[in-house]
Amino acid sequence: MNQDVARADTSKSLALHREVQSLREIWREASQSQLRKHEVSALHAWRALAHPRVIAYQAVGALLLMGLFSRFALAAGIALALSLAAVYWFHRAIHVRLEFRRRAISSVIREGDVVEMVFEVRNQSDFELPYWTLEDRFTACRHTHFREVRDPLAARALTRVSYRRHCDSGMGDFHTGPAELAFTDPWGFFEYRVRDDSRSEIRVHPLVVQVDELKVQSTPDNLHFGMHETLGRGVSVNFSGVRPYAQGDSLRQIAWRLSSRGQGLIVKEFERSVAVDVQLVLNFAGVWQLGRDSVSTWELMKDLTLALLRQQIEQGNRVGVYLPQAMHSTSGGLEHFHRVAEQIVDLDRDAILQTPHIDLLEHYHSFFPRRSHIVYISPFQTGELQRSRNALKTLLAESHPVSVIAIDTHSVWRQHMGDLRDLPIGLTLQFAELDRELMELKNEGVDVQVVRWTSVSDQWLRFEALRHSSPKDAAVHAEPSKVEGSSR
Amino acid sequence: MKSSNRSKATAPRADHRNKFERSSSGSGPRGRESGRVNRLSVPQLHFEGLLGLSMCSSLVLGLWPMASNRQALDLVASVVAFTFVSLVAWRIRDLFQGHRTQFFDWDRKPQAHAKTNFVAFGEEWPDRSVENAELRLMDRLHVGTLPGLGRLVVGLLLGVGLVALFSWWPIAVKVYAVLVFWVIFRNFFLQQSLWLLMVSGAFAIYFVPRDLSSNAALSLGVLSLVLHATSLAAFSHLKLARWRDLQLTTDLDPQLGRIFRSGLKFAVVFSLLFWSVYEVESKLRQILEGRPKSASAHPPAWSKRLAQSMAEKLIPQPSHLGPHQVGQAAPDANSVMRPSGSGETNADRNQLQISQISQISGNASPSGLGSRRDSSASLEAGSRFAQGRASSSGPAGNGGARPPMSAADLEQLRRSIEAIEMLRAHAQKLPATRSGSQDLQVPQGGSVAELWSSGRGSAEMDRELSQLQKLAAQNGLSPEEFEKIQRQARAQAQAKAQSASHQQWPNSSEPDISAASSQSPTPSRPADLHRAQEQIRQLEKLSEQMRSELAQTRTQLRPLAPQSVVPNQNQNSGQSLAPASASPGQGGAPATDLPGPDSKASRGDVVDPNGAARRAAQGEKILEATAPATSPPIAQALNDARTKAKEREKAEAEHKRKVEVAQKTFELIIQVFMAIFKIALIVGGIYLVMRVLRHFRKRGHKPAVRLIQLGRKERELLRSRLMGLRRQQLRPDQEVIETYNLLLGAFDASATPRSESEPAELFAERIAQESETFSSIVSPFRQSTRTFSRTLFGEIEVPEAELNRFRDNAARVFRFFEILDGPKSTSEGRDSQVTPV
Repeated sequence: MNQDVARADTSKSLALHREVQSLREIWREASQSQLRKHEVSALHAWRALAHPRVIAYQAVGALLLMGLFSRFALAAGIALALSLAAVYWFHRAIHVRLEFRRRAISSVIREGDVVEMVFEVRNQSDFELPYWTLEDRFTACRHTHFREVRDPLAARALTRVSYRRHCDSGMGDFHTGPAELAFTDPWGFFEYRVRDDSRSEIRVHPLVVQVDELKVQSTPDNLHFGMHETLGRGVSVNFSGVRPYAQGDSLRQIAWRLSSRGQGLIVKEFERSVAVDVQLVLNFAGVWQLGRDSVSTWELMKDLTLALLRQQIEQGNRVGVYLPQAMHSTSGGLEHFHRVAEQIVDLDRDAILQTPHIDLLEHYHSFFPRRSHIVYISPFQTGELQRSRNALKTLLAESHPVSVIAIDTHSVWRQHMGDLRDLPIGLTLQFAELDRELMELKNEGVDVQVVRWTSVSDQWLRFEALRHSSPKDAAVHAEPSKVEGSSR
Repeated sequence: MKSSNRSKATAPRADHRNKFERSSSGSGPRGRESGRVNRLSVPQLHFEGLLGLSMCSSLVLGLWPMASNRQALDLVASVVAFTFVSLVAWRIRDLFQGHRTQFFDWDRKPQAHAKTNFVAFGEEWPDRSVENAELRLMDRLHVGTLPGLGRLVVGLLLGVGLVALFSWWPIAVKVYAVLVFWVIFRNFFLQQSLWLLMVSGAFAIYFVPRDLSSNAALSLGVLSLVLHATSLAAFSHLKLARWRDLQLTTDLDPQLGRIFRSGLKFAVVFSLLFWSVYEVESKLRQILEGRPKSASAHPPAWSKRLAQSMAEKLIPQPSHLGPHQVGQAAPDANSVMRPSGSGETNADRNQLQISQISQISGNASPSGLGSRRDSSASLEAGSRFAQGRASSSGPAGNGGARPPMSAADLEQLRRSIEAIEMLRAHAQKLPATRSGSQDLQVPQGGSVAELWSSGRGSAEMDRELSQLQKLAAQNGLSPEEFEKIQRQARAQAQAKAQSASHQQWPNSSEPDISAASSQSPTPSRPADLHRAQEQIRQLEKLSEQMRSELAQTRTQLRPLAPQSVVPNQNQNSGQSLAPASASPGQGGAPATDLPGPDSKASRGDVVDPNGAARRAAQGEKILEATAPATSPPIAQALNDARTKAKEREKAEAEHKRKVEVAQKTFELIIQVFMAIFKIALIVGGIYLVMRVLRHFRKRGHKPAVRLIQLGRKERELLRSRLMGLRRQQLRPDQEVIETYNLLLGAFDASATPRSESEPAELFAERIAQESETFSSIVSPFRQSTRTFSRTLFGEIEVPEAELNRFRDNAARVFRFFEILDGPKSTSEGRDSQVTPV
């Protein structure tokens, strides 16, 4: 099937744009150089003007000027001008007979896949193509730009250029191209380009990662709670059986009496509670976001949302999703998952950055089912927490089990700190109070989880406990277990 | 520190990324500090080397006009020196700042091409990673890493040290040069060196001699052009490799040979076009100036010279026309400068031999002159001989019986004496220069200065005066009257010279140049140089004036016909003076050695050979005059010499005729070759133009692709795997399977991959359908596929014949993809030798 696609694409004639670098471009490159903003010398800032063509033109002009006094200089100036013309037209002949095309790639790409781009380059002229470069863009990858310098291509020859890219730029709509093939004459006077401006749109589907289990709680007031029970093991009150201890099991589930018989640790299993209403409230306001491409808070939130959504739906719970732009009422099943996933994937960077801050907990307060579990996902920032704290307290007061999953913006910031020199160092100070603020929130009865960006975030998202920043905090940190126990 | 933290944090992800993002033809793993940075310096060094070569060529080209223009050498040398010192400084700095490579985190390249801007709490921060990378690159190439004061100090020190080399520069130029050097050093960058390159080239081209008659100048020009174009090509190569979009890739190897060939190509194209333009321009100029067509039909001067040179070299000289012993025994400037094969030299040799014999016969030549003025010496010897004979005959030869000199003759004599004294007065004003000093050595003036400074000028003038006195005595002027006229003329000349000196340099603080020259013997300032040149020019003028006056005087004051026993002696001596005075440039050597227009003859330039013949004739007349008075052995020797001279002259004429015939033949051959070359050039140019223009036809069938060219790295990878297969001792079936996999790898690399689910037979059929590109290997690949399929499914045991056939077919396919060397269609036997295993 791929071959058919490739053949169809090959037979399709491409509109290639051919152009030669103009003097205006050289001037623009020199005059709009970013280096001019820095305290560098003018010779550096304008160094693009030291182009071989500019130098050659100046030499022609100088020789012709000297030609007023010397026959030799006049002849040399005319000969140099003719030489440049000969060089131009000779390579122009190659230029007009140069073609390339991209082989079609599969339109179904999942986040994290490896994609191979293949180009066929044909030199249909009668002359050898000197050193040439091929440039392309594949925006689904963090390393967007591809460029390769190739050896001279013989006359009437075909060759292939290919490269592989890892789709690590997150989910959403991306594109490939424009691709450009460029070469210069061996002396650098003229630069010839063949450009394919067509863009192939690519939709990268999300790769739903694994996530630590979110412990949802339900209350008897929950409308659907208890209507269905499954044999799937969970954390309900219905005892299912015992089994040997495995790493990762909670210590609270250990059956100490059975374990004391000398057969190792034994843990108790319970039937899973299903049909719990979980409300995922996603704070996608642009003002709280930080990062770039896939290493960003919004991509982390999207991954986390989809992971939690799938986790809860697989557990038989009903999930409602609340975005600043739209809401999906509480429902279950794969169809609901797909619907929400499409909405999440469509949230591209620009849309997120243009989203104003709304107090979502207050905004959607009336839509939350009674005493359903509220999961508030937001990039952590002190200002944001101050805004949402009152709403969280209100929900707690209304007997909603509330979980806050804070995206650790500091962990994202650390990934970019080495690359960004111009950002104010004061930005880092905003992350200093993270643990203390969250600990205070936790002390108020809110279940607080932290998700940090790590190197394995594209495979598994971990809920991390808060760090104990001081003995006082450590003392306070001991309280939540009591809270959990009492709530249960 | 930050970068190390980051690289640790993202190490697994980076590894993962690198694993997949390497292109199919990509290079191997690169070390951060060792591999990449070291390989970066290779094209950099390459470029520096070529830049240095270009500068050298500019220097050499600038040296050429050194003899005529010292300033050109200074300019070119300063530019070259600036560049070299800067390059060296750059290298030294690079050497000591190797540790700075840690800042050039080349592996951070993906960030340099980040897709989007960074977002910090809703605010977009412009992506400065490219800019930062550029700054880092500049930091590497730029001297700007030194602090400002350090730059200033280093630049000034280097500038002062460099300028100290050019000690003859005026102080203003030195200060200017130091400042310029500092600016260049401070802002030095690779591309700035290109400006220097072009500037030096422009200087070299501008100061090249106007007439490119010399082969050396042409070859130097071509050499310079080749190196300049090569340097530009290296720059382009380097830019392609490193600077474009700051990709900083080192995938491109230096390719020294290819770059040099590019430079050579450009030089050839430029030279041909230059020659064509020069020819066309000459024709146009001839047409515009309205010259007759016949004049333009003449062969150019260089072909004449070439034909003459070839004819003289190829036509053997008669044995008796070899180098004469006199010139070797007493080498002088003339014998060294003159070409040995010219007819003029032979005539001079005859003359010299004759004059030598005449000297042997008892006439002493002036010892102070030596053999340098051969013809004048002989003439003078003849004259003295005549005078001696006249004086020996008695006092009747004196001018006592002669009538007194007329007023016109007296006036003419007075003017001559005045001219001599005027020249002497001006020459005494000339600063005492060192011999060989180039500051005063202008083409015509150097000999005047040297002559006077060596003290010979005064003797020459005395000699001229004594001759005039003798001539005047013969015309009836007493020595007392002559002395009186001479004193008057001397006083008048000195007064004139003094007034002229003050009039010419009214603002000069040093009215007496000789006094100034004693303080600074070498005038280093341009004003002094200019003044000295002016004086020399004036001396030339006076010398010319004196010579014309002398000639006029000699013509006017002819010695009276003697009435002694040797009536023809005085006549001969009179004739010996007459042509020298009447036409000093064409006849024999001038009576004086003071420089003039005919001084070309003493510098080895081309002189009319008729003059030499006339001198030979004069020598014979001298011989005739002296013969009766000599003793028998001497007469015999003179007869022998005369006979030899006649034979020599005859042989010389014969040789000359042969040379002329050969020269004409060579001229014809050269013209024919030039015509063929021009026709070939025009035809080739038209063919090339047509071939190029053919590409711009929009209609018509485009030629099919005839070659599948793999990437160099892919090709080398497949070749190495193929060689690895050859080294292994595989079973026949394993060999077939592994080799076929390599074949599929070649197709995969050639943009025709086989999908996983596609059977081999179907793939072979698909290849066969693409006859446009694979037509030459359809059959061998199909047979190889068949063998592979049968082997893979165990149908056959791969007999020897089948295995050999498979090897042959595989080798043909590998040759098609240029994985194996050799022609694409080869014989069976050779295939079996190249086939692996």
